[in-house]
Amino acid sequence: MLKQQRAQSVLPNYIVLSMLALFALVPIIILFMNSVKTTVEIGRNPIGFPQEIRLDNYLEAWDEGGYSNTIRNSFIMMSATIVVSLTVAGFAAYALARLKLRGSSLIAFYFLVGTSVPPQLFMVPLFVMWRQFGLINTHLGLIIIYVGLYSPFATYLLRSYMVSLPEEFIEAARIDGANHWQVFRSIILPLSWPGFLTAGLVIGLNVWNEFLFAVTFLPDPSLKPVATSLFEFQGRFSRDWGLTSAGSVIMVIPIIVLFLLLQRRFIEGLTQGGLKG
Amino acid sequence: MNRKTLFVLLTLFTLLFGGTISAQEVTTVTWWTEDYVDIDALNALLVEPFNAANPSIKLEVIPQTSLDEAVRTAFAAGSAPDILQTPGASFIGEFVDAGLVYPLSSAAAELGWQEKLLPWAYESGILNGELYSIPLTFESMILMYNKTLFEENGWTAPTTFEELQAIAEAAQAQGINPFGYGNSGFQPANEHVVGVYLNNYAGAENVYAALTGEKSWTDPEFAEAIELLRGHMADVNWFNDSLETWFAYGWNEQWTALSTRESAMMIIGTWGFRGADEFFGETTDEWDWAPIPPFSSNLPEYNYMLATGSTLSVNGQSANPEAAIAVLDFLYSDPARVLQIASGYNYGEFVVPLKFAAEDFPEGTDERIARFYADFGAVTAEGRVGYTTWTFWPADADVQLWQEIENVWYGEMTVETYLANHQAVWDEARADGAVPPIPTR
Amino acid sequence: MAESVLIPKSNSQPVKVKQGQSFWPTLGRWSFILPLLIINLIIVIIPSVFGLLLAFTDWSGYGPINFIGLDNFSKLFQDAIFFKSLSNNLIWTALFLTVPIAVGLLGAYMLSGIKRGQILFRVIFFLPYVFASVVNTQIWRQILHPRVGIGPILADYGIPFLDFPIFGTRETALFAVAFVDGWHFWGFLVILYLAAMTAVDAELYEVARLDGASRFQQFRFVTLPSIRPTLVFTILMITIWSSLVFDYVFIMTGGGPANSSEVMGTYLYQNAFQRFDVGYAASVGVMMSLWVMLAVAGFVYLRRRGWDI
Repeated sequence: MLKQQRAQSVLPNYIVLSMLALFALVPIIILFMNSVKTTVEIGRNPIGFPQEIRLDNYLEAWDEGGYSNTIRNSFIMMSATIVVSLTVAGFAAYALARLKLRGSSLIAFYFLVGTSVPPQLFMVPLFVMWRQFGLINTHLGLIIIYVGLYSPFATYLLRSYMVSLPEEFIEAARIDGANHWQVFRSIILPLSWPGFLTAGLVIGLNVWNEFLFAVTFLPDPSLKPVATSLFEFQGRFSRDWGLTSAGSVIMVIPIIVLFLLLQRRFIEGLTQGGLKG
Repeated sequence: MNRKTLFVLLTLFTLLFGGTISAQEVTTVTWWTEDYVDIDALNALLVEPFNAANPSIKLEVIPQTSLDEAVRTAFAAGSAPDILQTPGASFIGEFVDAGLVYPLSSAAAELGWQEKLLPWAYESGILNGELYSIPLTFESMILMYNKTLFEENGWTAPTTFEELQAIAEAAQAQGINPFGYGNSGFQPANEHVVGVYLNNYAGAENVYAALTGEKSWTDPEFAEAIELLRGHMADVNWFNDSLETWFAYGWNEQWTALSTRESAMMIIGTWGFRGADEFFGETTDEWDWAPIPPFSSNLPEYNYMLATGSTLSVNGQSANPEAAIAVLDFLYSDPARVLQIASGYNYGEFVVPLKFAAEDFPEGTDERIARFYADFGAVTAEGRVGYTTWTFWPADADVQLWQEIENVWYGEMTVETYLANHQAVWDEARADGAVPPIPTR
Repeated sequence: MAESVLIPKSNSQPVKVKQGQSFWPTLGRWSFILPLLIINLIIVIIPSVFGLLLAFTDWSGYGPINFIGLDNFSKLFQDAIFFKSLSNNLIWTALFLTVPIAVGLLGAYMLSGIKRGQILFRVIFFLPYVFASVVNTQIWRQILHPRVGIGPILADYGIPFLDFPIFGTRETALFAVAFVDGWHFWGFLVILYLAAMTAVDAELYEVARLDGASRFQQFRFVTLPSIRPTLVFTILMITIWSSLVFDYVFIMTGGGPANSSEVMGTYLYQNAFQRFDVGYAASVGVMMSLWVMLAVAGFVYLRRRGWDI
């Protein structure tokens, strides 16, 4: 693979990528600079270098945002949602991609339309149901909601990945007498790793940034997730932008770590080269 | 993978079953409040003293993000808190219509609330002859200005429209914007200026007549008021430096502008004390405030617009309304305690409309803030009051007022159409009985 | 109907289950998808049906619910702001189906061609997507601020095209918000496309190169057909998400100035939470769902007509 890359100059790639990186990064750099300013300084000097670096913002944000608690809560919900969603979505994607299901287009239609209802509309009925089930103020209740909300997306993503897998592997396994479950476990799963990692990352990120359902279904402040910490820096009309910026950086760090971990696996999965036959 | 799943499942189970609360003998009263309150301070200044004084009641104040949405959802499921806090009077009508509010008249009479509260504030909670809510915080609109800038230019706080206009023009000649304000991040901020122009140009008397249905919003004095605002906004650029910049200025930008002399003045509510303190704290300039002068020579003197920031009620479905009433009474019986809580917000929140005496204010209260509360008390006691749109307008009319005004500013809608639409929404609200209580004048 | 009409065609055929020698009953195949169906039914569909039924009521959000038939819809069809929102949603969809997809494909294709530094670029591209909307919008509000942003600075260097209140000008507000939302979104597409591109057989590129294919031709004739399932998937998702768009608009302009950036999501919110008209808000919600159904049905139609998408 490397040899082939050398056949073609990669310089244009790096030029384009650097320009895109600049576009993505400049606002983020401004955000970092704002995270060590006071709100008053941000007002006067919103996009320039800080006059004085206030690392205290991070301590204050950590404290006021209750991050030690909210990060823990979010971590629990995120990991559980990823595990359950990928399991449920993995099976479903396999069925949609590889098993001829009667009415699978109807199912696809159903899921797509299901994701189109604005959450503000079904929140109240769902809340009433969850209260009946005693799931208000529990992380479990929210995890089930997140699985329901994000699994269709993961299913489609995984499905689009599974349909492009080479047919020969599955044929070979089938000739050996493998059943659907065995095909799924020994062929589809190992070959779909990049898809699973991507879907897991997307689901994890969605849970991490979600607050609309969390604020409603978790009235108890001690259960609140990390995205609600940013509300702590808000007044009726005002917002402490220094702390908000610092808080948002704190909030992003665990996700970047997760990203790096998953993406490393991703690359490893590729270099195994199973796909290239 | 398996071990991880097991770990997650175990964590889930501990969360589910470990968190159950043991049964208690005392009555618990829950109060959901806005998430911007300083809950530690509130616990220390209100919750703990109350619980100590009332061993049979346990008060729990819980901040909620998007409070009104949380309360609505909880009502649907029958799990709303005992004490209802709403962001404004328009909610009370909806709650009362739905039979969700506990009537407070008899408790109020028994506990003498009418004597403790400012009369207009007490009346603002009376719907169809019954008391349903009491403001948790009150506010008014004022004119804030950069005092140092004013002194250097020999300007004094304007007391008439001519003086205001002279200052505005002098400021513009120096490249300073007369007003710094905008709606970025909070679109309803439009109503802050619309309300002031209606009240200060057409006069509170006329606004009252229109609120009570004696007058129409299409009458000429209202049309002139809106036209005056449109001109200031779109023609002579009194706000920031153009109409378009109105949409680029939010809290931070407007305070930065005022404290760095980009702008000279600001029409804002008394919640602005908080921003003034913070943003002028890092400059050598000083701020001050003055009552907003009348914008018309027909009006002899200034007044203060009445406004409630949020309201308190007792949930009609509450199992313990008496305990909730005890909490309210605890709050209303101690003006010094209220002011101590309010001082934590520089008197921008938790200013319960009680009859404060000068000695109720904590020591070291900013002279400018003390001056406001003294003057507000004196002037409103004479009946010189105006009406803010977010307290005395029905929800629909309020939204129309702050939303369609943008079409007027951009010249997409005539003042006549705007006010005709406004009157139409009012008529509808009046027919539906959705008009909030208007204290008699 | 031998093949699913909805699901994009792939290069390979689904596993054929021969009727005669079925080693796994039909239930076995269905059992793979059943858990997802059940959870989705409980979380989304049942509450959604209740929520959308409110469109036929005058519910204020509190207390009793009265059915009023189709009144909300007859009001909706005369509501100029609703039609403004609808057309803004269409513009939004058109913008998002083109610009971020193009940039995302470009980024992913360029990334797939390199090894060194790939992970770094991935992180950088993904960063905007990770940060909370409340800070992303704030940074761009400042960068594009008419007084303190880059507009006046560029104007000093003779580049005046950004030197105006971009969020306060009716003609530009919607596009400005879409730009900021797009800025945070394209990196996400890079990740999706890259995952698909890495699965492309490297030999295909080699063959193309031996045939003298340019970089663009390789992209057009090798990459694009190979990632088609993912591409179609993102097109569908973007279409759906564009009908739901809410947060960036709500935070940055609230739908203003003068409704110029109003979308159905912000209009629904306003009716449900500021005007106490949940019934009317629900009728807006019904239109949002209907639109998605139309879009999905359009896909089905195009595939049946044999379009290669």
